Amino acid sequence: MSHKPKSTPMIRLRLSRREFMKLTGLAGAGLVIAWAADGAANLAAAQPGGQNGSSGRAASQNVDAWLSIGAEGVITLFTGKVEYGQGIQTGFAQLAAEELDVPFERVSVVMGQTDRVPPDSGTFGSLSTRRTGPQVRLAAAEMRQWLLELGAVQFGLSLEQLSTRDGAVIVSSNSGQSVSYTELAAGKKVGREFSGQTKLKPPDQYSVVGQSIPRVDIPPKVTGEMIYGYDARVPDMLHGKIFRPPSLGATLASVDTSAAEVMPGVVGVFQNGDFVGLTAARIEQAEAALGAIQATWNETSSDLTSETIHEALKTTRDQGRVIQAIGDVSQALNAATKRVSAVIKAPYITHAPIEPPTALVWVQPEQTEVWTSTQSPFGVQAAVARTLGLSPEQVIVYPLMPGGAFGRKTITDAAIEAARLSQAFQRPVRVNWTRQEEFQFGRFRPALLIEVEAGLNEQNELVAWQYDLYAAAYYPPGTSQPTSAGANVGAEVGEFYSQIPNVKTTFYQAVSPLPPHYWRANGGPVNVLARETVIDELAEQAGLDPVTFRAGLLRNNPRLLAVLEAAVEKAGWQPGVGWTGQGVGVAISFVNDTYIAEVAQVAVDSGP
Amino acid sequence: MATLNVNGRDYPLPADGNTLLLYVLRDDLGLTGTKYGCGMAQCGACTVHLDGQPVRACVTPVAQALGAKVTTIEGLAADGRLTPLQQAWIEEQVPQCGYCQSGQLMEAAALLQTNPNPSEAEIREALNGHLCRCGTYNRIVKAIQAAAGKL
Repeated sequence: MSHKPKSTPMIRLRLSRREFMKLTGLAGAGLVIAWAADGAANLAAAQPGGQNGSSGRAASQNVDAWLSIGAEGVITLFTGKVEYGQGIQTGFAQLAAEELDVPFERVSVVMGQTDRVPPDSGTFGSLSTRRTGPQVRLAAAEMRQWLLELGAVQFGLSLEQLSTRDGAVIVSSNSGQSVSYTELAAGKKVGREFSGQTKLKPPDQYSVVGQSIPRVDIPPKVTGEMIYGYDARVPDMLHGKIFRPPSLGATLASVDTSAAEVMPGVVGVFQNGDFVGLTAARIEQAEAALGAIQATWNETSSDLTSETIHEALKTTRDQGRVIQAIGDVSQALNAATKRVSAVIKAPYITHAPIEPPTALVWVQPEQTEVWTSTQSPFGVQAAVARTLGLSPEQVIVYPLMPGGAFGRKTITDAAIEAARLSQAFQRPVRVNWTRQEEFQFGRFRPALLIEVEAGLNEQNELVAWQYDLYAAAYYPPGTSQPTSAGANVGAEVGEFYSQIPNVKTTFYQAVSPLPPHYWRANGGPVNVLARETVIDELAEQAGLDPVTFRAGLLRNNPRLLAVLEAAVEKAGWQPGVGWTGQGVGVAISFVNDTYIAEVAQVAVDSGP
Repeated sequence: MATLNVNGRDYPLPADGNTLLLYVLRDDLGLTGTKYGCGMAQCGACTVHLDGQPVRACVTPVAQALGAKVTTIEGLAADGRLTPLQQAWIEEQVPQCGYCQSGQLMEAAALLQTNPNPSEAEIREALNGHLCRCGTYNRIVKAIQAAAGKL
C-alpha cells in the first residue's frame, strides 16, 4: 500500500488476532481509524522561540505555595526549578533551613511537579540561586514570623520575648519553654504573602548557608538508583518511535507503512501529515519496524556547508543594528598608529546532553501525565496541553532528573511526540530519542562570524574598537521576527573595558535553514573569546603584558580588576618572555552577575 | 532454558539472543542504572562488566552474555554496602547530572581490579572512552586516586 500523506490523520492499529476478532468478528489484520486532531498548529505553537520555555506566569508570593510544615518538624519547600546536578536542591534547602532555624536535614524540596509547585518559567541562565534563592529566603522568613506570632499568642508573650531554634519557637528568657513548629502550625495555612518587609537573618548569623553541605542528589547517582527521564516507565507502556526525514525540513511525498505494521510487537502506526510515528511493545521492535517504513521525500537543498556558512552570513545579512556606539570609531581607526584586525568564526554546535531528549506521556480521560527530562516543566505542560487541546491544569508534568540539559531541555519536542502517540493509541507511550536523532534534529547554537578592527594611539592606548557580529538566525514557525538565540550576549565591549573612547558594535542577522536554540550562555562564550583574543593581540602590539594591558582598561572597574589580580597571583603569572612553546593565557569576563578571571596553562605542539 | 546471570541472580532470558544487553537490563530486568548515551559504543554510559571485563552493553547482543557473570552499577555494592570507589565518588562530590557516572564507575572499578594503584595517566587512559558532558573529569581522577589509597 502506497499513498500520499493524509490530511486526515490516520491511525493504523495492528491488533492481535483475538483482539481483532473480538472487535469486528472478522478475520484479517489492519484497522484504519480516522483520527480528528489538529496536530500541526499545536506543534508549531509549542516550538521553541514561540512560547516554549516560558509559561509567562508570575511567580507566586503566597507563602503556602512555597512552604509547608508537616509532621515531626519536616519542612517541605516547593519550587518550580529543577535539579540537574547544579546543586540547587541542596542550596534551596540550606536557604530555607537558615531562615527558619531548622536543621538542614529536616527540609525536603519538591521540584517542578506542576500540580504541586508555584509556576516557574524554567531553570536556565544561572538564575536559580540568584533570583529564586531570595524568594525562598523571603518565604521562609515570613513563615518564621508567622510562627513567632502564633507562639506569642500561645505563651501570652510579646514577639520580643521569643526566638526560634531547631524547629521550635522558644521563650528567650526561659530555655525550658518551647513549642515545635509542627505543633504551632497544626496543619494551618500561613495565609499571607511574603512582602519583603520581614527581616531576613543577617549573614553574620548564618550557620547553614555558607557551609559546604554534600549534595543530596549525589548518593543515588553512584548506585544507579537515580531515575532519569530516559528511565521513566509505567505498566502497560508502549515504546514510540518517530519516522524522521532524511534531512531537515523535508516533507513526505509518499509513505508505505504496511510492512512496519505487521512487524513483531508492533501495536500500530500513526500518521498525521508529515508526522509518522509507531508504537511497539519493546524498544527493539519499534526500532526494527521504523526501518521497515518506505517513503519518498521532498527535500529542500541548501548549498551551505560548515565551510561556507560564515561567508553566507555576511552576504545574506540584514541591515544590522548598532547595539553600542561611543565616539567616532571610523575616525579613530584612521588616526590609530597601530591596528589589529581579527576574524573569529564559530560553527553551529549541538547541545549533546549524554541523555538524548525523552518523554513518557499517558493521556487519560481525566488527566494527562508526563514524565520527562526538562528544564521547563511548565513549558512542557503548556506544550502538551496545546498539542492535545487541553487546559494546562489537565496536564501534570513530573520532571525527572535530566542527564544533562545545557538549554536543550527547555525544548519540548519529545513530550509533544509522546503526547500525540499516547493520544492516538490510548496507552502510555515513551519516546526516547536516539543519539543520531538528537544530532540531526536537535537545535543548535547558531554559527557566528565576528570581525573586529581595533586601534592603538601613540601612547599604546586602545582608542578604537569596531565589532561586527554576524549571527545565523531563523524564523520560528508562525513568526516574522528572526531569532539567533541570544547570539549578541556579551558582544558589548564597553561593559568590561569602559576606557575605550570610540566603540561601535553592530549586530547583523542572516537567515539560515538550521533552527538555533539557547546553548549554555548563548553567544557569550564566542563573544568573550573574540574580545579577549583581540585584547591579547592589542597587548602584543603595544608591547605590554596581557595582564598589564587589561589592568589599564579596568580603571573604572575596580572589582573586575581585583578579580584579575587575584587570579594571576594565584596562578603565579609571569610576564611573557618570547616564544617557548609553552605559556599561560588570561581572560576575564562578567557573566550572570559574576566577575571571572581565568588563567590557562597551554602548550603548543608545533611552532608559530 | 537459557538464563542470564546479573548481579549474582539468574534470570530467564526474556528476549531473543540478538536483543541488546542494554535493553534486556533496562527494560526486562528494570536495572536502569545502565544508561543509553549513543548506541554505538562511543560514550561509555552503558558500561557493565562481563566476568569482570568492562563492555558496552549498547552494542552487546544478550547472547554474548549467556554463561558470563554480568555486573551492573546496581551490583557494584554487592553486599549492600558502598564500595570504597562509590564512597570516594560521594566524598569528592563527583557527579553533576550524573548520567555518565554509572559507566565511569564501572570502568574505574574494572581498572582498580587489574591495577590497584594507577597513576593519573593510567586513570585517564583507562577512562578515555567515557564522555562526561558536565566536565567532571578532574573529580573522577581524584576519586579514583582516593579509592585506590583505600583499597
